[in-house]
Amino acid sequence: MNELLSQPAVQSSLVPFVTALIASIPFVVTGRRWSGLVVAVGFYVAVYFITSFEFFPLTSTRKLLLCGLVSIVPAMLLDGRRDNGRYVSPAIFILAGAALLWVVWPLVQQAETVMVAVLLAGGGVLYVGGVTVATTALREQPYHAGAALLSLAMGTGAAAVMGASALLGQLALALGSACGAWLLLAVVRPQWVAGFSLTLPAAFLAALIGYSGVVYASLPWYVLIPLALIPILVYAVPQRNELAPWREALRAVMVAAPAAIIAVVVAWKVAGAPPM
Amino acid sequence: MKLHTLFAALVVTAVSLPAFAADTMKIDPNHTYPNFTINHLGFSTMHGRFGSTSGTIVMDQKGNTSSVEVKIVAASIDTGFQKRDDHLRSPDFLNVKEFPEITYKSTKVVFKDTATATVEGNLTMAGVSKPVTLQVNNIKCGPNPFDKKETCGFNGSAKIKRSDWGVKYGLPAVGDDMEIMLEVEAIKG
Repeated sequence: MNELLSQPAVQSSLVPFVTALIASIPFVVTGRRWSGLVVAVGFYVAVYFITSFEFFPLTSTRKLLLCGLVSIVPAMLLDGRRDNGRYVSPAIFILAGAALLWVVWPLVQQAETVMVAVLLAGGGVLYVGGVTVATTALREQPYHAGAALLSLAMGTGAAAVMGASALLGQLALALGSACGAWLLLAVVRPQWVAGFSLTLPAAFLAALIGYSGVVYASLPWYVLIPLALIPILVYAVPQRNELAPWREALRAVMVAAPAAIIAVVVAWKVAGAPPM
Repeated sequence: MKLHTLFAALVVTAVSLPAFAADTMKIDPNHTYPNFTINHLGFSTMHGRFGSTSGTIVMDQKGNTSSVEVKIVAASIDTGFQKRDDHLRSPDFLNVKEFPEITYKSTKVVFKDTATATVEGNLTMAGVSKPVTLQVNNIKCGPNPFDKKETCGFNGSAKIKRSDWGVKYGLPAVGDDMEIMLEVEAIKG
């Protein structure tokens, strides 16, 4: 069993998927609110197997994982409120951007010129903040949210592996597997709501991992462009409630997946095969 | 008389001092190579090296002020395969963009004889500092036959476990035990 659990492929797929399914059991009782937490549970159990949950020294990858963990709290608070007002999205953008700056600060400090530092920081804030806000806009559309996150995380993971960081790739693929489990559960239990509990932490983590792949590994920056389009493309397609849940979920995946595939193909063409 | 004796003693001491002074030498980056070996999947031993090194050595075989300070550009790692080198530079292993330097700074140098020594110090890699003792052999100092500059060279080696520095990715498939070899030449002045 230990040998099985030490396999990277198992850590990134089976562990988060099965854990998310098991974690969903309490939500059968509690109902819709905070069901997105099953993704966080599945992901962080996978993180335990992948990284052993060590947080010191506080490297960029560990900061990223801490930020994702912390983001669960405001997500749950937002889901607990009846009306969140129009300042939520700007606040999410700013906080996501601030977290990104904390993760990449060592590189910003080392930048050779001010222009490079501004591009590094600004590009990251735009990508991470933008993807997080765009995905949270899908919180009322469970199948679309699940499909967008599944494609975003899987695409980020596969591209990160091409970009010479198997660790970042594993983390994103684990996130994608957990999101896949959530989408499956949402199809089976149509009363589930994505909410901020699903969309905020998962999108935030996927975006942080993707940007870290660019700045800390060898992922080309333009691979992030199709990934950034995923939540926008899915949002542009109205949810059709008259369709069976599995059909609507599949429809949303078919809208989101091509952008993820494009990102992976571009990463493969530029960066080459994964490091073995 | 006593004043003359004192003056003579002072002159002799002043002339003798350079003979006992420590020599501060700058590492020659063109002839200094940190190397390492590590087991790969149990099938073979992989060799790698770092191509960019700098630092300072204080050679004081008669006193106790000897020291070694080495700075290695982590991104200069070279295992002969670009894709693997890119992977080693990534956050999976050395995380070179966040931790661009690997450093070794001695805390104590003990000469066993003119050609061997033990160097105790701290190796900092991927943001973690741990003590490492180098076994130093083949210490040789003398004028370089080409440019006549005073040069010292030595071989240093140590065995470490990369997991002690938090570099754990790929364990146990890629070995934990690493042998580090430091081939150094340093030039005075």
